[in-house]
Amino acid sequence: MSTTPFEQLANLDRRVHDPARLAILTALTACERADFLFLLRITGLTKGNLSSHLSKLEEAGLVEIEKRFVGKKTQTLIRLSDDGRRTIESYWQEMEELRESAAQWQPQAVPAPSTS
Amino acid sequence: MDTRDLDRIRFVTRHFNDLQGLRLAVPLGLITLSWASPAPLRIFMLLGALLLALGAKRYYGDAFGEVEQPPVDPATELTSVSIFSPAGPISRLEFRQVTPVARHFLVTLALAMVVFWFFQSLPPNILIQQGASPGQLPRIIPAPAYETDFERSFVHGETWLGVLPIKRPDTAMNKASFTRMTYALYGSLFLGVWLWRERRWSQSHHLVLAVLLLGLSILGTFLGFFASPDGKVPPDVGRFLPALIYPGMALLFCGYSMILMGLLDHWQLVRTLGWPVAAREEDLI
Repeated sequence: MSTTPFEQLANLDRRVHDPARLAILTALTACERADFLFLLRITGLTKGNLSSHLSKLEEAGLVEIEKRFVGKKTQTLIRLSDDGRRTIESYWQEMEELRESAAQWQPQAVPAPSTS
Repeated sequence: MDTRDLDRIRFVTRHFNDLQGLRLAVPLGLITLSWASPAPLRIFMLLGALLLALGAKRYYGDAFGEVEQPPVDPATELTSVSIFSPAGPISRLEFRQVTPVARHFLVTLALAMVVFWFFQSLPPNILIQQGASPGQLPRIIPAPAYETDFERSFVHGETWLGVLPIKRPDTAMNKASFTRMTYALYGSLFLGVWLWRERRWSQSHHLVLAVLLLGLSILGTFLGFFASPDGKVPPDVGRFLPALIYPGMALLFCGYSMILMGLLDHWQLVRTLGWPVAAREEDLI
């Protein structure tokens, strides 16, 4: 059954389809793993915001978080899980399909109300 | 956040380690400049380059964080062709894997060297002889830079070594060849970096420097086309002559280009990631 672009849009993965989470996942796609500070700088998010998004992504199983000590301070390392990699690839594929179907989509003619 | 932002995030993350200009390119530029410097200054510059590389590594880690790049693609690993052996299967040969940036650099360098030597052997070329006094420019004689004694090799059958390019025994000529080679080497490096950085508009300063240095190498190689039979070159070309024949000038150009590249890379990183914070703070989560 064919769906309209609007229906496709509504079916997008909400775990990924958020500007902040998309930025985090895009950065993690381009590397093996990155630390919290780098993600903070590259996304421009606040600490609390980034922390909250990472917790949600970890709960969803899209990222893996590892903590280690560097001297006396903790360093948080984040990597994309296998599931996360598959999810982001699938998301971009869906976005590409959405773009194509939106370009071809034409609104169906709505019957004009009768004047009599 | 639009796709351009996401593309920028992807690019900076992917190239975070090689965009650290103060850690890589600037020390390399200082090392290059040290070759053209007197001995006491050379030691000072080498030490400075080493300290800068070490200090910058710590600075980038504290200011911008750390990114671990994925391992080299196993598909690029070379494998031996298996043939039947009575002693059993031949063990797989293991080659040291080459990082993509090194592969880009090596390929462009090899190509530049092949083209360089090919054109070097083409007539008309020039022979540069040392000037009469130290302040005087070397004398240019329109003649091949390298000669091959085909007649002796093949007609008289004296030696097969005659097919190899034989260098004319002149220090000034050797220095000029070294100068062109230096431009070709550094130009290839800049070109390799530009290709490695996805040929992006934002990385075009590498292309500009590559064109400049490779252009100087090519101009030096084709100097014979501009020289008149009495060894005179047009004033426009003559202006570049010191840069084309003195190795010290080439090392200065290449060293400063490398430092400029490093500073521009660093500036791009700072522009994208924002001005660094004073020190690493505790992470949340």
